Amino acid sequence: MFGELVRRYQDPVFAMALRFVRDRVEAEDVAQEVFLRVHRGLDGFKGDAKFSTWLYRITWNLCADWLRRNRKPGRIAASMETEDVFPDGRVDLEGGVLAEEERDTVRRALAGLDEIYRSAVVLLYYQKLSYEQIAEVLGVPVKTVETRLYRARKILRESLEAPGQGGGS
Amino acid sequence: MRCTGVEPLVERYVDGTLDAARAAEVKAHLPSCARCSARVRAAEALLSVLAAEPAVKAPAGFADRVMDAIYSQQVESQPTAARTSTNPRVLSPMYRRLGLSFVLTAAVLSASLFVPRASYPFLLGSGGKGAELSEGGALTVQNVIHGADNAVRGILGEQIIGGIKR
Repeated sequence: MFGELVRRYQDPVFAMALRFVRDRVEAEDVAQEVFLRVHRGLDGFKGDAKFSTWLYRITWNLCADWLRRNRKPGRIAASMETEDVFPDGRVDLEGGVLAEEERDTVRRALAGLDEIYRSAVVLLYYQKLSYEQIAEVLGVPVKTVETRLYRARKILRESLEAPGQGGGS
Repeated sequence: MRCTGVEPLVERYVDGTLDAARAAEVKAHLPSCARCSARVRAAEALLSVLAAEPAVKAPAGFADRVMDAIYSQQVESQPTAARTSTNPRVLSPMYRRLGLSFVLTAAVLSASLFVPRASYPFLLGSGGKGAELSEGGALTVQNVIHGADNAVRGILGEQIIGGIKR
């Protein structure tokens, strides 16, 4: 029963952890801890929120803890991040070289974003959550989510408009 | 709607997360404004890049490792619970007395099976008929019961006879 639940949510939870910690081994540890906590707390889940929202909230809390414990000086190079996130070398061949360069540019800019902006972008674009769900996961008002996304997207958009100059926070 | 009103809404317009009324206002503004149209195109490019990111999958065997970890935690937590429940200090005095009674009863019954007949003259009653010594000099259960029956009969008979005499 619980194994089915793990199989159903393992990909989005692992993907979210990987987007934040940017290391597959560490991401697996974080994702495993997420499910252990879910298992321990399942009886206490009141159902007043969507299960997925509750799950992502636990995931975000553990990622935020990990980031606090492992905060490193400086930013991770985009090439390193790309290698960590997609170690199997999957490339959208149809998109061509230009699209891959654009993605690298956006990844670099995304890696350079402050965590409060990056978290909103990851939850919206990669986890496909609504503004309300993002607010619940991050524990902030919807208005704050809107503001963070506005600023984040502005930075990312500018990175595309002026390649090579993006990535500032 | 003017440019200052459109600019903050461009991304949400492109994402499709803007309500219908405001989306219609933005849409109506775009054909007459090259600057806002360029912003929309940039936002669309950003969205396409983000949306084109390959899906990330959990490593093979991840779910099994999670279930193993859960099982390990449950096993680790069991001895603690067991220690608590079998702690002699938390056993109630009633259970302790009950256990002691069982042990003593078992000891007495065991002894009665293997002690020679000669040690139970009172069990043989008046004459001890039917109480046979087993090959090893021990009494069988049947012999013990028979002996006890005779003893009770003997005592009762003596009391009745004594009453009549009085």
